[in-house]
Amino acid sequence: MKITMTEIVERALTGKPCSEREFDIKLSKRARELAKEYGVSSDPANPVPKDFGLANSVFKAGFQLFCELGAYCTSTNRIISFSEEEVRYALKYTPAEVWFGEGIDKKALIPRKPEDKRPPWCFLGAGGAPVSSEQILSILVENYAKIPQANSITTPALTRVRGVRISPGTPLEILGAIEAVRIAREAMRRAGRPGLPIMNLVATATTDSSLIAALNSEYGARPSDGVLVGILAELKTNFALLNKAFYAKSLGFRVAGELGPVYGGYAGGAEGTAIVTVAEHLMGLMVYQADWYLAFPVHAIYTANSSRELLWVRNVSAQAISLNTNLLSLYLSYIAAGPMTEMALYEIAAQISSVVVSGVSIEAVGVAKARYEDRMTPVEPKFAAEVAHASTRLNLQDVNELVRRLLPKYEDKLKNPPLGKKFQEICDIETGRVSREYLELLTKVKKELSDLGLPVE
Amino acid sequence: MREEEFFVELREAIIAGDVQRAKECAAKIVEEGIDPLKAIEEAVQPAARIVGEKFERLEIFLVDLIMAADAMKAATEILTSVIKAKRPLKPAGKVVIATVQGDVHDIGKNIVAALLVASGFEVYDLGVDVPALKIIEKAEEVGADVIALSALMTSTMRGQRDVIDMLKAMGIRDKYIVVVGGGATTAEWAREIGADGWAETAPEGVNLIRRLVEEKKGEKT
Repeated sequence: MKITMTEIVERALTGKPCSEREFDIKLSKRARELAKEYGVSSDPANPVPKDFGLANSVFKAGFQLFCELGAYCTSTNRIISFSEEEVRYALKYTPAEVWFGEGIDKKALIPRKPEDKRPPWCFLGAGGAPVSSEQILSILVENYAKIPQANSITTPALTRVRGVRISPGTPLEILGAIEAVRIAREAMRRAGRPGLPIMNLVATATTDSSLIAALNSEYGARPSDGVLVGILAELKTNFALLNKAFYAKSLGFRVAGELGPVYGGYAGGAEGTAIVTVAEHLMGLMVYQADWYLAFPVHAIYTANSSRELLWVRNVSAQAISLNTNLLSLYLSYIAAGPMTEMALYEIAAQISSVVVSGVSIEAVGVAKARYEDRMTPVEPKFAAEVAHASTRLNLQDVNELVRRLLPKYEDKLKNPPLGKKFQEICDIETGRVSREYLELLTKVKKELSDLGLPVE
Repeated sequence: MREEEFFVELREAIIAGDVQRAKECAAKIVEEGIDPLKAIEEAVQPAARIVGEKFERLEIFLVDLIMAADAMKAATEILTSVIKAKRPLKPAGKVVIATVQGDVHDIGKNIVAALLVASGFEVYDLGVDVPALKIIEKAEEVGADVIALSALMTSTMRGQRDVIDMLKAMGIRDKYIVVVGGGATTAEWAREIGADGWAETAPEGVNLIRRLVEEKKGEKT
């Protein structure tokens, strides 16, 4: 039988006690040992592996890691454990499709496989990056919704509401979260796509109380939207996160296990990070009873995921998940460079093309590491969607060659990437119309991609 | 065994994160009557620098860094127990570090804390979701040089400003070097809230803290 959320909380309250440090060190050591045991070895020269035996080994190692360690609850300093049988059962009965959205924008998210010719689900927008005002959020979302390939929207996060900087756990955060949903819904209506789902409800809400407040249908949230519930690095949760999952699921929202294992952190190197990425998908399935998954393995130093090590991690773990499960996984791209730079477009092309051919769907794009206020435009997610659709014509070998030729164009700049320009410096603040200069740059990069074997329309 | 051979062994034990071997080696150095201060300067500190550099290039990872910091701490404790009788060895500085209130993300903060320990700082890690007053009380209690504040989320950055504003309100802002970092923060934000510095990565953060502490000590002398 399916494990209930009550049972999860009971296990968090009564599971084996363990210090957080002990758990962290055990995880690091086991991830390293399992990589050796299963013969998982990274190959930076080939960031898009075409070795399904390797992908299956990554899956087996991730499965074993999660079954051995379980998930750590920082609220109780106890381990939430699961048997292998319980995990296998949950994998077997996970739904093979989940519907999002309303009206003509209602659509099923389905699992993909490596070299799948079907287009990926395109979850487009800001990736939760910060914007400085309600006005910029509104015009950005309107223009995201105008992207024809958009299946759902990822909204920016408000840093201020009514000009006041938001503080977590205060009424300002609740107000900001509510406003973000209300404004986004209205912006999509203006774009003529009122049924389009928001899949990152609610980027502005950090605390459980703000999220719960903003999920009230009075403000525009719908159960056919998605709610992200984070997994703490690595394999950890707490009661605030469980509160989010429990409440969102009880209202029928589509809950995602959101996982960002850190390359260089407790997960270790590329092999360990790929294994932990798989294990955290399973944690999302078991602990949050997730309907879908949002993965973004990230580099400890660059805090983006377009370096060759991270491309390998993304692609091999995507293949591991897509070959061995029906889990509905989307991979989020965080790029280092800012808008209106060639580097940003190269990073997007490398990340999106390879992960699409590796068998998952996409969220695009966290521009300039999603760190800097207003450093995003509708161009980057639109370009990402075009790359995603075009990539379905490639196979793993083609895309590996493409990525090998794109990497030298930007990898030496990852430590100090160009930050480009802000939205208001590139786009008309009233309409979102993009500057001619950026469009010319886009045309130039698309021509280069076409010459490299990826014709982007 | 010659003095240099002991130092090589201690350096290797620290870099390997082998706490037991580092302890044994430090104890042998004391037993042999080798100058412990020289051992710290020629074995412990270079090992710490190498570990930091290796992490910056990601040739080693967080768990290796933590184990190396443990080994360094254990060896230093044994060596300083002898020095203390003659003259106390001061840490590079005292740092109170925390992830600010409302934010439960700790991996970046943990990396900075481990690198600081490996660099010879006395570190008081208060964990995550820490209220401003608790951070300040700890800094006052231990006589900290530095308050280091982490925030990953855009919505939790304000907690960094709350600490600085509270320090100002208490009239003790100038007592501390306040540095900020974390996924959502920028140099512009650090300037806006009146922090003394910001770093994008953990190794840069440690270099920043080292430089600011040295500058402050230079001003005092």
